[in-house]
Amino acid sequence: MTPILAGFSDILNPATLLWVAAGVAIGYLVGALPGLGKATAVAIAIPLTFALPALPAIAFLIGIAKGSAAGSAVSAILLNVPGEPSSAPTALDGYPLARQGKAGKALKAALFASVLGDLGSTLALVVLAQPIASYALSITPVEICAVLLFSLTFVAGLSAQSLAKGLVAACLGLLAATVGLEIESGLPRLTFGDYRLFDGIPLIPMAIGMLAVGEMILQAGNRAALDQQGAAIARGAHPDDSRMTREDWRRSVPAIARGTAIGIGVGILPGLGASVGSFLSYGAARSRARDPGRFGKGAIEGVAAAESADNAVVPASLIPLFALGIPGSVIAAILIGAFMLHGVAPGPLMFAQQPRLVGGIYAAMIAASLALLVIGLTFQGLFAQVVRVPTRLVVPAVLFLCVVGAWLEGGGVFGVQVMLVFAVLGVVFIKLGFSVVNFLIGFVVGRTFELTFRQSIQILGRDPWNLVQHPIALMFLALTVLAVWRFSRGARRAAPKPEDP
Amino acid sequence: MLKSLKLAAMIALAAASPALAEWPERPISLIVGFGPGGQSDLLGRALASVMTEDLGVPVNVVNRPGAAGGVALAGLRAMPADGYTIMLNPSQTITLTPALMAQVPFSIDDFAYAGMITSFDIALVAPASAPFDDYAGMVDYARAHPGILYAALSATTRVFATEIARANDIDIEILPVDGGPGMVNAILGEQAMLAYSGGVHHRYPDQMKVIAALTTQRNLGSPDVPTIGELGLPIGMDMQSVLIAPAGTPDDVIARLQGALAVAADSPAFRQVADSMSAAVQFRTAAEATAIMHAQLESNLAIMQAAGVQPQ
Repeated sequence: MTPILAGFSDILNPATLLWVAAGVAIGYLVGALPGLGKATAVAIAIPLTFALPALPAIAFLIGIAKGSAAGSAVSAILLNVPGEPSSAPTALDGYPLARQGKAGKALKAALFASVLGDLGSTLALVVLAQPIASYALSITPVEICAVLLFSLTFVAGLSAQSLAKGLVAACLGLLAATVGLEIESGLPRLTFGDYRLFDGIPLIPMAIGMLAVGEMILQAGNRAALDQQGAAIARGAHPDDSRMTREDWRRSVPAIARGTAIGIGVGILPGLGASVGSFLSYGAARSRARDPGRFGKGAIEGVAAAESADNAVVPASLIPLFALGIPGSVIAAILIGAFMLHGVAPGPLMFAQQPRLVGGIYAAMIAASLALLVIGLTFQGLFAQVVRVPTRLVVPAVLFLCVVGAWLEGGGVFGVQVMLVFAVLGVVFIKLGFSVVNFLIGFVVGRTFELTFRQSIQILGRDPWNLVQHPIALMFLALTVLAVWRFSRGARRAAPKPEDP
Repeated sequence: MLKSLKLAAMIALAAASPALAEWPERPISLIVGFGPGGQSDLLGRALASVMTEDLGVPVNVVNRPGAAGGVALAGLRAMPADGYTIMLNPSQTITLTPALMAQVPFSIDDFAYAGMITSFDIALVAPASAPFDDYAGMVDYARAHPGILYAALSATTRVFATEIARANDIDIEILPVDGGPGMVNAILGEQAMLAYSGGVHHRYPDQMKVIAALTTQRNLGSPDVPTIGELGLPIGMDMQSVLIAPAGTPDDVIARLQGALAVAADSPAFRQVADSMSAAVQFRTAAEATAIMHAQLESNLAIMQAAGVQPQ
């Protein structure tokens, strides 16, 4: 343990601290720009670190990852354009808050949730990396499949309006996730002969289209109302609108705690990723709320839930990387390359061979959490000015950013086409009262769900009785049945009541 | 606004004009057909920095992910053959896709090949705890335990298991996995007894063992392990990182690109990146690369046809 503690003191070197802060600042700015995700930012930054010693180099890269995971909330809240897929649920309540003149509050909630989720997850990494990781290997696709099935039922069942519409939206999302090359045989499915669909529908253009562009289409006919709203925002309202009140904290703390736990769980399990974490956390917060009708109209805990999970995934996905050498996320896979370049082989041997470096990395990660708080608060003052610009002037700029984001993440014109198709679909969904969120959750989870389901069939030797060897999976299957029973009963009871406006 | 439009028009005009004798005189785009952070991307970025120094103009990496480089190749095909748009990609996207898909938006003749720089150590691997150490042992074990799981990343990688099973009359079941990390998980978690590896197993020398090389030549990283061909089953399929330009790119430009590639292969900076990913550096000239590409296509088509895989 002592060399690890010695590593902690290494971080106090001003140059190293500067690299941490620089990484977080760059990450936060990159994250705030729609279309440039954290994976891109870290990958591009790797060559910049060639000349650095191992600790500042890795600290810098982790700083970028953490900073951009938090920064992506900024454009989600202010412009309704998620900087990366995992911030799409942040936009669902963050953007309505901004439109109500509470952008400052939403940005702060997102930042505090990010920092707390990040810090909690980092501490989990420090304390639990070794014990948890050995356990993670015994989690087979069978368990993951059961967990996903439970999450999907839970989230879909608690749609704001009706159980049936919630399930339909989630199932359509699952259907959209089947587009592309089939995982086992490599046969194209639902691609209509277009090779650009072979890798499936790109998530960012889809999310931008359904959330941002769809929203703008719905607002387009409403110029007078927009101008009025904009003027009200510009006049500046109550100071409480730009800070977290006691009431906001009361609502957010449970959401943040749950989001952090979900983020850690999702980070440790292989192949799920930050988007699954933030969507599930948002869905869980909505379903736990006493008045789910507030969600989507500016519920502060929705922002907190999504962002805390989004940020908690990053450090947690390093747990299997540090303890076993297995990348738990795209970021972790990229970091393997960076680690190797600096002569560090991630894995259990790292603790034995370079304990001091491990300690330094841990300390750097904690420092990055704190740097995130300071840097985020500094930049937010600037970013928040965006809401003072009249909406009619913002919309063209946002549309431009949407197109850029869809172009970058969707492989050129194709991404823009995907965005437009899903913008139309988004409008139809909203007009008919189907949940766009459920659709996106279905889509995000769909691919992994199908893969783990088919893996489970193979691992169980096509004999359901073999499930007996997987008690955790059995438990979640039982919970799923229970959830379905509860929801259908709840729906029947709630049915005679008039619907939420 | 008008000014920037004019500028854009000028850039567009410049892009359309043919390459001049003093190539290169402006920045080069090096397309990588995968998202940032993967093996192709990191190799591409390392190559780009060496080429920037060698050619004296900036070489910028452009990520255009989709269909294992297929989307980018379809785009590259339509670019002017002036050497200012080039691409680094694994060879199998060109030499294997036609065996799997009936409609491929590019063909081997759409491109000129400036050389190869790394080769992939493709192998059949098993967890270190597996109760066999070589191919014969594996076949015996599978015969005694029908239905052992083989982690496959795609339709192509699946063919190896079905062919090995057919040749030895044993039963191997397929466990589909999602990419290299998924394979690592399945092997380290001991959910699969066998797996296809594109070279990532070199990172886990204590947890994985190599059962056979799935290439036509022995793997550079494990020269003692025989190839599947040596073991009596000629289904080895090679894969290299190949530098690709649109067909019709002038010979002197190809020669300069080949030179830059040779410099990269010897540069310590590039080797460090390649080593960190367990990619074996193996330089091939433009002529060699072109010949290899054609031979590879022919051999892969024959193997897949014999395996009964029909292009879809």
